[in-house]
Amino acid sequence: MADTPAWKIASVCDDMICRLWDVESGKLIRELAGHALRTPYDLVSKLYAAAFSRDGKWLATVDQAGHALVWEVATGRKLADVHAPYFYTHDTNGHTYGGIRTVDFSLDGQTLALGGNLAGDTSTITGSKSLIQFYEWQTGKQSAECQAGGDFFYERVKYHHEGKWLLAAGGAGNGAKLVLVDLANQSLLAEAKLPSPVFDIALAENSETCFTVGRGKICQWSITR
Amino acid sequence: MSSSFPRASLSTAPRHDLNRREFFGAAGLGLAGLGWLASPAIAGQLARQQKRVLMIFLNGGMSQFESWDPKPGRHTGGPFQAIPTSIPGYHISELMPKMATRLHKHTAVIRSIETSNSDHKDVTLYAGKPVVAGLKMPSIGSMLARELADPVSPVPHHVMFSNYLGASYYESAGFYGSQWDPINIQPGDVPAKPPFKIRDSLVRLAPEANRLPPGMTDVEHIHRESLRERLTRGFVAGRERDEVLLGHNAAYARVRGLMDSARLFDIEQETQATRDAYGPTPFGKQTLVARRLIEAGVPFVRVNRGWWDHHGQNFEFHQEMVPELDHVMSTLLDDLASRGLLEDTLVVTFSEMGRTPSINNNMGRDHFSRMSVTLSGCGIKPGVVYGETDADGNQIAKNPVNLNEFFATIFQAVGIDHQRERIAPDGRPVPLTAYDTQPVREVLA
Repeated sequence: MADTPAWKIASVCDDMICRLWDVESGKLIRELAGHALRTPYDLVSKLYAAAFSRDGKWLATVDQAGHALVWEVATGRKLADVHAPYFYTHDTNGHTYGGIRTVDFSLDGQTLALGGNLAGDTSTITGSKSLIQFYEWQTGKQSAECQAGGDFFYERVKYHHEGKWLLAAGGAGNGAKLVLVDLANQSLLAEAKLPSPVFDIALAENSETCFTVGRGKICQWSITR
Repeated sequence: MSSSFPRASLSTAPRHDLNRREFFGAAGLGLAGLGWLASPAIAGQLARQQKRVLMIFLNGGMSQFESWDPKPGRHTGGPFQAIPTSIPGYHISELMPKMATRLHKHTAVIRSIETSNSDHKDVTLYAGKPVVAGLKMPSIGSMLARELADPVSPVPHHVMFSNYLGASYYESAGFYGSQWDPINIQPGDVPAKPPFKIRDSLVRLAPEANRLPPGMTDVEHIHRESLRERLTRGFVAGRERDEVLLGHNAAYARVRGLMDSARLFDIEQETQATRDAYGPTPFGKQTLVARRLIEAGVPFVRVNRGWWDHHGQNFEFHQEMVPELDHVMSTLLDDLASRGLLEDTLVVTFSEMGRTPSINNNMGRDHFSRMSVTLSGCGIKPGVVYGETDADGNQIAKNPVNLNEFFATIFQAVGIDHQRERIAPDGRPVPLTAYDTQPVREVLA
């Protein structure tokens, strides 16, 4: 799920539909359907994540086959379909690996940070390589990339409130990590080991505190220079 | 097309100048005379039975929790619910709604297989013992192929659709000789670096032997094969008890037979409706070819579907793969039944192991020696659920079945005495399953 200051929530589901909800009334505002239901080898796909732009004007949703769709929140109109093919892999049985597992908008809303893994098997403990790619969604062009991190996939990414760095988390086995990515040169500013792989993160408005949610554990982190 | 194998360099003897029909006739006689028809009476009996086995092998170890033995609500159960089936009181994973409505028709489930194996090894295919006292044993597929082979059939008798780890799960005929080895249909190569492209060549539905090497004509291949066969026959003279040696000629002869069987591997021969029913996935297409092979009389076909080794993200992957198995398996059983083939065809789902009850930090399940299997069709009492695991799926709670007993059940279902002995090259009698093994009679019709 993703939320906005405008009291809207976006939820994604295995039926590949993103639903917009009004927080106060609990009512469904609209359904956003546009992701392919099946992967290229006709297996069931998955809709992994959603994120609002800071002004609440746009919504991005990302899927297993490597597509990020951008929607106009007010109308439900699909504005862009960004294809990031390096996130989607398959084996000789057409068995799907990877996918874009997380997304966030840059402060100006023009760039999407997409997280997942590169060309690896996410079903094994060390079979994948972490990957973050940045796309200018209005043109569909990739603008930057960060492969630093380790042999895991990123489960969540969040921009710093002033756009100074990107917080990313993911992991597998003993390799679960929380990292800060320098947006200027796509390198790691800092990293911390996590007690378990991460399901979600929350970054405080001042970007000085964050929370990680893993299996059976919620951790609070202080982010200082 | 130019050739690097000029005909004159192979043989110019008039007796080698065989036409295609004569060649295949000779090849067939050669096959019949070289070992596998050592007992014409037995061969004739088996030919009349015309039983076949189609095995769906779930490489990597499918989770029994997300398929045939769910434990919803338990800490080992995972996120999926269980749904009722057409067998009263029996529930399976919600990921298998199609099989849930069909189980009473053709299928028996055994939930209590104890493999004594919890690794990615092919030992499961050999009932845990690929080598006994230095003797290489045949795999279950090779044994079934030999016992069920129709001596007058021109089609292959053992075909396997491999996957990318096929070599780890290779059927081998062991001391039976290479003629009982599978024709192994390897997948295409995935590009080493991303982005991966969707390519038709990924999905191989026919063996490489369907095609001649580049630059070689069909006539040249026939002449070459004729020369090879003649030389081998001379070498074999006086060594007729060595089935491994004898098997080489038969195996080579099968390559020619395979080329003549090319239509069997061509799903374009099927109606669009049938192709649509099996679906466009590699597994669906290969299973359709497998059905064509079974229909044509191939006694043993194995389709591999992997990769189920989900130490991480087990539930995501099973959410993708189990519905595909559910769809393809139910389509296959419907298709075989509608064609009247299921009475004589046993469909088996099997794996090298199961998955652990415990769910690890990566939302995965690890290797586990216990698993569930299914038997459908020929010789099976439908609607039987045999064996139980305990509430959390940790232990076999009732009616454990080992691999020898499972294989004995397969043999019995298709009318083969599971204690039948074959003689090894050193004179040892070797039974199909370990002595004193009993089949699971409760699932047999």
